[in-house]
Amino acid sequence: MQAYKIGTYALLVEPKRCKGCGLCVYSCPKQILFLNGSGKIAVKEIEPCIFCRICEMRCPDFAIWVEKALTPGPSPVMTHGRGVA
Amino acid sequence: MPNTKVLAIREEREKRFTGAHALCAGCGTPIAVRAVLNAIEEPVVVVTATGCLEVATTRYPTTAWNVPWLHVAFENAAAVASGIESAYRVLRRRGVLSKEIRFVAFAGDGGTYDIGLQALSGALERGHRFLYVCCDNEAYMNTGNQRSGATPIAAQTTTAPVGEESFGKIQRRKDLTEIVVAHRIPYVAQASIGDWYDLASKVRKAISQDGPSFINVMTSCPRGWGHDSNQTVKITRLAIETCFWPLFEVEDGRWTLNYIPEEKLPVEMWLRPQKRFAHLFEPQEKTELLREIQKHVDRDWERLLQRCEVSAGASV
Repeated sequence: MQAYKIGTYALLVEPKRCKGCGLCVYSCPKQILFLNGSGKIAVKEIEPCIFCRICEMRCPDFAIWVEKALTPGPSPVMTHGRGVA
Repeated sequence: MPNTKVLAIREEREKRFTGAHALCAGCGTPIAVRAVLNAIEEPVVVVTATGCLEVATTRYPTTAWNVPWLHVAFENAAAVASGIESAYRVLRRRGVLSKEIRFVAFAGDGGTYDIGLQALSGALERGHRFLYVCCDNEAYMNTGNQRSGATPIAAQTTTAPVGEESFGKIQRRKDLTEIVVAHRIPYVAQASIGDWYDLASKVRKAISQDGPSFINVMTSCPRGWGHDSNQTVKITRLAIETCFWPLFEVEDGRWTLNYIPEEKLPVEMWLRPQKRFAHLFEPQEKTELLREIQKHVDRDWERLLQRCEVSAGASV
């Protein structure tokens, strides 16, 4: 699992769950996502992300989601019992 | 109102449906299921008819459901839901249960249009308080794309093949939403994963009714329809824009149109990206058949406008 954080929000991706359908890549309004060489979800750049959560709710496989970090900055992100990023 | 963020925040509190399923890449059904379950605030009990959703989400010994979940057979999702609802009412009357619980039945188009129709009809007529969601992907996709009552005319399926003598399914699809409206239940709606806000709002309305409610949701199937897996939502959106799958609701017999496209696209725009309709365009275009399909869509749309008492060219 990878976490990308800006301020108090973080975008988390779990390539292990990804089936590579590309729905999130297609629907991202900021075009920050892509499928990597092995056809799994990856983040191009996190800065433009507006945390709209469209990718999260469109993903059929729960492989990408947004979380509110407990503390801003580089400290660990809480992931609702799904492990610490 | 239930926009994307509201649904996501609801899911953060309690995951009702999880990713531990084997549905194909780009499947539209889990998108619909997530939107439906997250639009409901109260605790839910889910009943599922046989279909992709049931088979792929409950492979022994795992399950993708984090709510009480029940499955009996292909044809009786509605009957099972009505049984649970009756038991719940008795337990409430006796004071054993005090919680408000909502009941949701999920079924595919095979389990609703064809096999489960009589169970659904009975449950609606008896007036049980439950929400029935039909995830309509327009064929029996679970067993490998056989034609169902929901398959549109000219679509290629394994049991309606394309050849020199045939152009896919010969018959038109039946209008299940209208059949359900004829039961005079409090709430019937047609929705799509192509318009999320609309789907979630309809679920909220449906679940608050004191009686049966029904939502027919179009969920695309990338493998059966033959389009790229990232086009799932786009294809269902095109079905709305071409008026093939209009969004409307019927509350106590009052018809309301929820979306009128600014410019009604030709139905060809929806047919062309799908491989199951490829024979309409290659090797040569079947203009006659295309014109007939467009005529069907136009006639249904006109009739719907009349029902909703909207004049053509108006916007909602």
